[in-house]
Amino acid sequence: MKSMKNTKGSFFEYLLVILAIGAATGIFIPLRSHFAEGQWALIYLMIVVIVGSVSGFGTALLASVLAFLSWNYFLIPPYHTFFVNEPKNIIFLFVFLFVGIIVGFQTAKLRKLAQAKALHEADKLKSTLISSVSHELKTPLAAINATITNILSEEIEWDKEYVRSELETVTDDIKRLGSSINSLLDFSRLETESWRPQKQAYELNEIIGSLSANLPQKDRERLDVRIPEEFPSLLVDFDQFLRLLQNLVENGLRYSEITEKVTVKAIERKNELLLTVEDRGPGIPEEEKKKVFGKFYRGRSSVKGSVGTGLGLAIAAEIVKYHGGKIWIEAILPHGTRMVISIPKTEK
Amino acid sequence: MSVPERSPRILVVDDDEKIRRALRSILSSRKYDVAIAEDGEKAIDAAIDHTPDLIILDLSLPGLSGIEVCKELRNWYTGPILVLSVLGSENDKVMALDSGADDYLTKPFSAAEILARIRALLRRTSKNILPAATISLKDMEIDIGRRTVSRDGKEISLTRTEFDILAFLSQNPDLVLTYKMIMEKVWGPDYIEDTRTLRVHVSNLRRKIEPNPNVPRYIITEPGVGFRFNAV
Repeated sequence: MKSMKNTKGSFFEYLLVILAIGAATGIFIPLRSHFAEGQWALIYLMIVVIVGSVSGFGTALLASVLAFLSWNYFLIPPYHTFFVNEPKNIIFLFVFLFVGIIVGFQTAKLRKLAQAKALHEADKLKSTLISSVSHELKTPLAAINATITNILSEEIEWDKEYVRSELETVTDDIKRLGSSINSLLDFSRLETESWRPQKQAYELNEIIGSLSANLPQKDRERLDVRIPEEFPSLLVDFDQFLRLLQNLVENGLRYSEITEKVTVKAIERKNELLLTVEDRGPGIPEEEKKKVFGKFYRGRSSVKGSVGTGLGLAIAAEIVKYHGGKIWIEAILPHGTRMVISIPKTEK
Repeated sequence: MSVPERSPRILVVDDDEKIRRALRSILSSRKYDVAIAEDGEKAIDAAIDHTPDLIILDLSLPGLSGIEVCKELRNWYTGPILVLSVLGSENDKVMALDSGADDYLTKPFSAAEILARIRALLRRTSKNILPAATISLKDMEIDIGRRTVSRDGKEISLTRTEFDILAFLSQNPDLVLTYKMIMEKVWGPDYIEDTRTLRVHVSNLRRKIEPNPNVPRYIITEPGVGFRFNAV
């Protein structure tokens, strides 16, 4: 009923107003002798305000008129006539109309503002999407193109070793391109809800094993995993959880010194399972802690010139949500970041 | 590796010209004999004409789909089929394996990856090579005949089932082994076990053989499908 489409409200909303006033009046009639007419007017006024604030201008107007008529017809003696024995009661009609118009008008204005803001947000997201995508896809592509065309140029006889090392950088760029494309695909699959989790019981170390196998050798040695002996299995979508942990671990690896470890820990609580990924990087400033889960947000604290789509943590947050869990960031002193995932414990 | 009398013949089925060219170049430079088909119908004809030792089959083909081709081939073709696909979901993998594929590789892949899979598949089906009696890995030795396993010279005690699972996995390195395949091997075709039972055994096995059970290196989980033994 809180239609965002227009400010006038749908046919359905008008019908609902008629039904609401009718139902309220039906309840009030048997009680009409208990309150004075002025008090009934206040109760009707309350309904007008509620209608105006949830629906809008047109419905509020309708509610005012209906409320006045019902009040007059059913609740002011002589009952069942529109005769107003005390002409001062006519002032209530104006109050009803006035309140209805004001509240409805304000609601409509607020709604328009909200719509404009949502549109603006969507536009902003679109333009960040385009700039992020074009940057993330074009940069490695440009590098590949430059390298290959250079090697192909005929005027120079390249040294075999040089060609080899150049081609190795091309491979790295292609990997980067591939992982950006994967991020974008995963993200759109999650956004459109076409990546539904297929949850099964897995042990955490199985997921960690695949994660480690996907990492380059030098990063594999930086991974420090601590899982308690009797840690329960997780009811999760394997691929999604792999993606989630991979994004957190890769962030940790990327944002900390090459000599520092990234630690994955598992903690069992009474009703939840906690997974933490810790790094000894510069940490995430307090004011960025919420923003980093947003789409296309890239932390400013990157030392080595940040790469990535800025989607890693947005994807992580989305996957955690799919599993009914929570994700947040804690600071490690003197410096470092602890990403914490909490997922509800499932009975065996 | 022992040298076969002739180079193994590989049929590549892919509708993309660039992939075909890359695969031809990767394979023929390693002395494989390469045949090519662009679509499903041609693939079936080529399989009949060339009798390949292995077929590399792309799943997204125009006309007859890769899955259909796979089912069709399996009516008579007994050699290994390696499926290539851009789809990476569990269902696609399970579907390909159920239609008769022996393994799958997700695009994009590296030359080293596909060559390793091809070697593993040819090794499995090769009649010249008996399954190894002992398997030596970086820090582990598996003696299939004596049914012993040792890591860094120290013997590890395994239950009968755990050893059977390890023996089967390690004799088929780098290949995906489905739950069904492993259970048939370990408990026999008539014995019906729950995959959960198998998973518990594998979990215990990991705890005993993996140098760091928190980060298993030898036995890799293929979600929803089975396990893969990583020999390197």
